[in-house]
Amino acid sequence: MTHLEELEQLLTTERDQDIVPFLRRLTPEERKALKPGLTKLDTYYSEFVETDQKNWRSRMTIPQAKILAIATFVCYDRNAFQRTNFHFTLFRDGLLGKVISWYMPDWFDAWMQEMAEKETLPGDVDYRMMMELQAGGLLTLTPTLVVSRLPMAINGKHRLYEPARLFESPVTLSEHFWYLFEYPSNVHFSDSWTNSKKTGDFEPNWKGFIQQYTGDGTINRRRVLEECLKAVNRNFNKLQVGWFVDLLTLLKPEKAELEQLQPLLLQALNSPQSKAINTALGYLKVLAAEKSFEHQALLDHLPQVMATDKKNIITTTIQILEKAGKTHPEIKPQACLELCAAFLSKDEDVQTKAAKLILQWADKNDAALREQLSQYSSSMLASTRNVLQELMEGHADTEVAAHEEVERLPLIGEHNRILTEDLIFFASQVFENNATWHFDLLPAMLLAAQDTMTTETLWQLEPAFQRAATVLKRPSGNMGLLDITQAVFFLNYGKWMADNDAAYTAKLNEVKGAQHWWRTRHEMPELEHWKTSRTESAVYMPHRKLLVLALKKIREKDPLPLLSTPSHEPGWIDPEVLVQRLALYQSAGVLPDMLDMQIAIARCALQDTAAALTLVQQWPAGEYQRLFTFLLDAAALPQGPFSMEVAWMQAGLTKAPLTTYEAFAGFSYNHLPVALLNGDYAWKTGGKPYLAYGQYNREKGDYDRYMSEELVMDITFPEGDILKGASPLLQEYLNGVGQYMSVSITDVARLLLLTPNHPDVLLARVMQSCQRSSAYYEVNETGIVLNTLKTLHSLDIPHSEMRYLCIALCMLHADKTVKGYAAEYWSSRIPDRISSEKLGQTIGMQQRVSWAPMKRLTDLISTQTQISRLQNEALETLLTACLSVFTDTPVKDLKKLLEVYAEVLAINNSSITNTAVIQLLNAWQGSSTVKKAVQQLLKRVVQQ
Amino acid sequence: MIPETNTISYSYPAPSAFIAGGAPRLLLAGYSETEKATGPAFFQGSLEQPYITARCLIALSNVVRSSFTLTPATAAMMKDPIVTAGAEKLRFEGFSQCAGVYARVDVLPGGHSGTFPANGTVNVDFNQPMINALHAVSRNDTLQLMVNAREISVQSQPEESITEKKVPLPVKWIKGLTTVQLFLAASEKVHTLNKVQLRQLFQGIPAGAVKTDYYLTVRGNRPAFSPVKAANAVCVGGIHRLRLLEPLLPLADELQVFVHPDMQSTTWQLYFGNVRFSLSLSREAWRGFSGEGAALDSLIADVPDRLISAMDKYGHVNQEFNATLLAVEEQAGFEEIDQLTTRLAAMGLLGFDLDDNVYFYRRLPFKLNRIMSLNPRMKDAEQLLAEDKVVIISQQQDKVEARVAGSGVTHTVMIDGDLARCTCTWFAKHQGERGPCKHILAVRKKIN
Repeated sequence: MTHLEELEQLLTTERDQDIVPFLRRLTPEERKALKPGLTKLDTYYSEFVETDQKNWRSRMTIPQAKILAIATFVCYDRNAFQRTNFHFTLFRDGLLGKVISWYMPDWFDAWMQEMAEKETLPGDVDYRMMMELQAGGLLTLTPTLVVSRLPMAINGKHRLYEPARLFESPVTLSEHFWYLFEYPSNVHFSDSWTNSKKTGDFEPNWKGFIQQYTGDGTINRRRVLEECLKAVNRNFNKLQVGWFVDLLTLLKPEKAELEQLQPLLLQALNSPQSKAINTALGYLKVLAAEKSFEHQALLDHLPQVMATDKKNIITTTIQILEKAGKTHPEIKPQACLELCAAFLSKDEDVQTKAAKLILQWADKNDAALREQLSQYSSSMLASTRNVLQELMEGHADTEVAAHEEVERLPLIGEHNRILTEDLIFFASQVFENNATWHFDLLPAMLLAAQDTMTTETLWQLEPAFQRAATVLKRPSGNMGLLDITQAVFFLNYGKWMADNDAAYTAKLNEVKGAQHWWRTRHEMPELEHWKTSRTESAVYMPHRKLLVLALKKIREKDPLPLLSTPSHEPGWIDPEVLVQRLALYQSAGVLPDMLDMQIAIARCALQDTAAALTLVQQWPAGEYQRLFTFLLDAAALPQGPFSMEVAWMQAGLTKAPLTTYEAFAGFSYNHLPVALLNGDYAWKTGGKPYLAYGQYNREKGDYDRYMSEELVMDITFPEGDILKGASPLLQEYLNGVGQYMSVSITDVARLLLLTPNHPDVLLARVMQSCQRSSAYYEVNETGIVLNTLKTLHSLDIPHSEMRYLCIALCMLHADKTVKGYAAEYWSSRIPDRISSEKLGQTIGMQQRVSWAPMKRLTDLISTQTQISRLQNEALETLLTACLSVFTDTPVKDLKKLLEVYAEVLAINNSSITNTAVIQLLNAWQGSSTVKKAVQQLLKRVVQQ
Repeated sequence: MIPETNTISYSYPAPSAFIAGGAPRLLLAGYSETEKATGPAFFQGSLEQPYITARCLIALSNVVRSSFTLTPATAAMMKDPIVTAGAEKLRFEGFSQCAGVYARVDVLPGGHSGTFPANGTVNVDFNQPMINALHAVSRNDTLQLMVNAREISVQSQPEESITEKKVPLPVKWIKGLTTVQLFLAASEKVHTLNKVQLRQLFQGIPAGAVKTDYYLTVRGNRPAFSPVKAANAVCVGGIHRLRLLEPLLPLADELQVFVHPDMQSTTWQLYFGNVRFSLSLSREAWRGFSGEGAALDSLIADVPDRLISAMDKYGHVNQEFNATLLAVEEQAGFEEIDQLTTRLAAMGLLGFDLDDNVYFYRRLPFKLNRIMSLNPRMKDAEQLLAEDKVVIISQQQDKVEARVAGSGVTHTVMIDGDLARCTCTWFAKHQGERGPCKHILAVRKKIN
C-alpha cells in the first residue's frame, strides 16, 4: 500500500487518532511527495454536497477535517497551507499540540505575525496558547499579537470572569498588561463580553480587575493613572479613548495624585476626543486655584480647547481660568486673547460668559486685545457686542459689508448661447451627460447633417455608435432613462443609414467582434415600439416622441428642423430663432408636429421679444401670425379662429399660466382641472391619518394595523382624464408620473427643462414624491431634490406658489447641501427677485406644526446673518413673516427660533411692529419654555 | 515621574536604496542602487517648534492613514511618509491611501537648529510607538531629530528604541507624486485667510462624506463654502477631506489657498512660523492624483542630454531652482525646460514649493526606466504606435487629422495647435481635463 493509499484509508475510516503516527513515520521527502495527492483529497472532501433536500455542507466529517488539517500543515509549504481553510481547524482541539513536538515549519512565526497584523488570527488562538507557543520558542510575542488576545484572557470557559488566569505568568502583568494602554485593541468591548454577574465590590471585567489590584498594590496605580491619560492621545478610536477615560474616572484620582498628574492632564487637552478633554478639564479645575498650578501650560493649550465647539468644555475652561486668574493674575492678558475664540460659537451663553470674563480682566488700553476683538466682531452676537462695547469703541469694522448684488443677466444672450461643434466629436459626448441640452442637440444635428452625411462621416461616428450600444446594454449608474432612450434612437439612426448606404453596410460587414453594434443589430429595439418597465411612464413620452419625430424626418428626408431644440442654455429658445424655424415650415407649407411645437413654445424665452415680433409681423396674416403675436406680445389677446387648439393653449399657459382666456372657452382641454395644467395646486401641511403597522400577530400571520397620524406636506392633485384626447397638452404628460414617481436623478433636470418658463407641474410631483415628509432624505430623494433646485436656480423666472413651497421645503431639508443651496438661491435673489415675506410665510406654514426639526431652520439662519445689511433686513422680513403664521400653542424648539429672531432684530436695531407676531408673543408669555425669550422680544415691541 | 527623555529610532534592516541607476544619467551619477549609504546623517539636530512640528507630523500621519474611497479594512494598511533633508530644510510628505490627498510638512530654516552633514531622502513608517511619542511632545520639550539613509530617530523623552521594517513606496504614491507636483507648479494663490477667517471657513463644512462640489467665496470679509457655483469661486470636490486639517487650525497663524487654473487641484497651506503644513486635494474624492494625466503632454518629447547635464548642477537634495532662470542660464527654450522639469517631476525627483514658486530636488528609490510603466496611458500610446495603428490623414502646419484603431472601432483625432480632440469615451467624458487620451498621445508622438 502506498503512503497516499494509506492516507486515503485513514480518511475513509475516519481514524484521526492515527494520522500523527502515520505522518511521523514519513521522511520529509515522503511528506513532500504526498502533496499532489493530498491536494486532490482536500478538493474532494472540501466540496459542498447536498445532504438531504435542503441542506448543503462540505463532504468532510469532523475527524476527516482533523486528518486533513494536520496532513496539510505538515506536508504543505506556507503559501499552499494559507490557501486551505484548515488554519481554523489546526488551532482547535489541541491539534497543533500533537504536531509541534515533532514538526514545526520555519514559517510559523512569520505567518502568525501576519495574521495578527491583518486581524485574521483564528478565534481559537487564545492568549494562553500564544504563551505556550512562546515558551516553546515557536512564537515571538509582539505587542500586536499580545493586544489582539489579552483583552479576552481575563475570561475563562463560557466567558466567565477568571482573573487568576492573568497571574499564571509574571510577564502578563509586568509587561503585556501595559501594552493595552499603548496599542489599539478592543479592550473597550471586553466589558460586555463576560457572562459573569457582579457579586463582590468589583465588576467582573478589566475595569473591576484594575480597580481591585491597583487598590492592593499588585498593579502600580500611579502608572495606570498616567497611562490612562497618555492613552487618550494615541490616535485610538473614540470608544477606546472613552474606555480609558472611564477607567480613570473609576479609579477616582485624589488631589495629591492629580497634582502629580498635572502635566499629563494638560497634555490630555490635545486629545481629539472631547470626552477626554472634558474629563481632564474637570480634574484641572480641582487644581486651578493651587499655587502649583501650571497656568502657563494651560495657556499653551487654550487655543485647542477653545476650538472645540462643545459648550461644557468652554464653560469649564472659563471656570478654570477664573480660579487660576485669582492666584496667577499674570495670565489675564493672554487668556483674554485666547478667550476670543469663544465668539466663533453660535451659542449665546458661551459668548456671554467669555465676554464677561474678558470685560472683567481686560486692560482697556490693550491694543492687541482690541485688535483681536475687532477680528472676531463679525461673528459676535449682538448681546456680546453690547457687553464688550467699551472695548470695541473706535472700531468701525463691525459694519457689515454692502450687499453684493449678483449680476442679473438676460434670459438669453452671448453668455449662454449654445455653440454647435463637429458632429463626430459631439456624438461621442452626448452619452456622457455633460449638459442637459445635449439630448436635444443630437437629433437636431443629425437632421441638419442629412445632406452632407457621407460614408466616411458615418464611419467616423463609429465610436459613438459603439458607445450607444454599451449604454443600451449596460447603462452606468449615472445614466437615466433618457440616456438609454437616446442610445436606442442613435442606434436606430445608424441602422437606417446602413440600410440605405451600401458602401457603409459593406464596411460594417467587415467588422469583427461579437460586441460590435452592427453584429447585434438584430436584437436592437425599434424606438417606436421599445418597451421597458419605465418607458411607459408618460413623463418620459415627450422626449421619446421628439426622437421618434426626428427619426421619421430622417427616414423621409425631411429637411425641416425640429422646432423645440434649445438655442441657449439650459433650455431656452431664442424667440427670433423659433420664428425663423417656423417660417421654414410656413414656406414649405408643412404643418409642424404639435408636440414639437408645444415644447418649442414652452421653451421660448419671453423676455426680449421685439425683434421676433417684427419678424412675425412680416408673416402672411393667418393663424401662425396670430398665435405668435399672442405668445410674444405681452399685451396681445388670443384671436380666433383656432385650428391649432393645443398650440394656443400652450402659448396661454407659457405666457400667463394663471390667466383664463375667454377665447379658449370652447377648447376640449377645459374638461381638465386647471391646476393640472398651470401647476397651481393646493397644498397643506399638517397631520394626516394613515394606517400604521403594529406588532406582528402570530395568530393572524400578519402585522396588526392601527390608525396613526403623520406630519406631511400634502399637495392635492385633482382627478382628471389626462392623455385621453387626440393631441394631449405637454402638461398632461408631465402629470403622468404614476403613483410612485420613478424618475432618475439625472433625468430630473431635462424633464423640468421641457417647460423652463413654468416648471410647476412637474415640480409639484417632485415635491409630493421627495419632500412630503421632512424625513425623506435617502440618496435618491436628496439627489432629485438637489438637481431640481439646481435647475430652478439656473432659471431666472418669476416665482409662483409651487416654487416658494419648493425653496421653503429645501431650506428645511436634512441635507446640508440642499439647505445651503436653497439659502443661496434666496440670498442671490434678494431684495427684488424673491419675496422674503412670502418665503417666510411658506416656511412658517411648515414650522407652525413642526414639520421639520426647528434646528434645521435656526442653524441655517445663523449662517446667513451678518453677510450684508440688505440680507440682515431680508432675514428679518423672512423671520417675521414666518412667525406671523404660527399658532398660539408654542411648538418644539420655538425658543431657539425666537432667540435667532431676537439676534436678527438686534443686528438691525429693529423693533417688532407686526401685529400678528405681537399677539403671538403675548400668547406665548405663559409658556415656561419660551417665557424668557418672549420677554426679551417684547422689549422690542412698538405699540402702534 | 514623567519620563525625561525618550528615544525612538527608526531603522531599516537594509539601507534605503537610492535611485535609479538604470540609465547612465549624469544627474544621478552620484547614486547607485548598489551604494550602501552608510555615510553621514542627512540631518542631525533639534526642532525649534517641537509641539507644532509634532502636531503637524501627526496630521500628516492621519492623512496617510485616511482613505476616501477604500473600505476601512484596506485603509488600515499604513504606508510611510517620505522625509527629505537638505538645503537647510526638512520636508515630510505623504499621500492618503486613495492617493487623492497629498500632504507635506516643511520645516524651514529657523524651524530647526542642526546640521545637514549630507542630504538625502528616506521613507519611514509612522507606527504606533512613533505616534505615541509625537503625541507626548509638549511645547517645553526638546525634540531631537536625526535623519540618515537608514533611519530617522526622534527623541524627546527616554526609554525604548524601536526598529521598523522598511516598506517599499507604493506604486500609487509614485504615480501620485508624478502628478501632484505638476498641479502645484501650475497653481496660483487666490486667498489668504487670517486666524479668525480660517476658523469661520471650516465651520461651514457639511457633516459626512460630501458628494457635490463646494465653492469657496469671500463675501465682504468673510470666507464661506457654498454649494452654488459662482464665477471666480474656488471649486472643491470631496470637501470633507479638508477635515484632516481641523486639529491644526487653532494653532495656525494663516491659511493660504492655492488653486490649479482648471480647478484640478486645490492646496491649503497652513503657516506656523517656520513650519508649514500643506494639504492638496484632487479634483474629486474618488480621483487619486495617481490617475491624472497631467504629466503626459510633456513626456512626449525626449529631453536633450545637454539639459540633463545642466540639471546635474542642481542635483542636491532640497536644492531649489527656478525653471525660468534655468531656461535663461542654459539658453534653453521654456518648453524644453518645461519638459525637463516634468520629466523629473514625473520620476518623483522634483517637488514643488508654492511659497517660493520653485521646484526642489529629492531622490526617490526607483528606476528611471520605470517612468513609462507609471504612465499607462503613455505606455498604451507607445503600443498603438508599435502596432502601427495610427494613420495620419492630413497634416498642415499645426493642424493634424488622424485615425487611430481602437478596440473594434476607429477613432478620429483632430489636433489644432494646443487643442486636441478625440472620439473616444475618455475624451468625450473629460474633454481633455484629465490629460490627453492615449489616442491623442499616440498621434502627438507620431508627428513629433
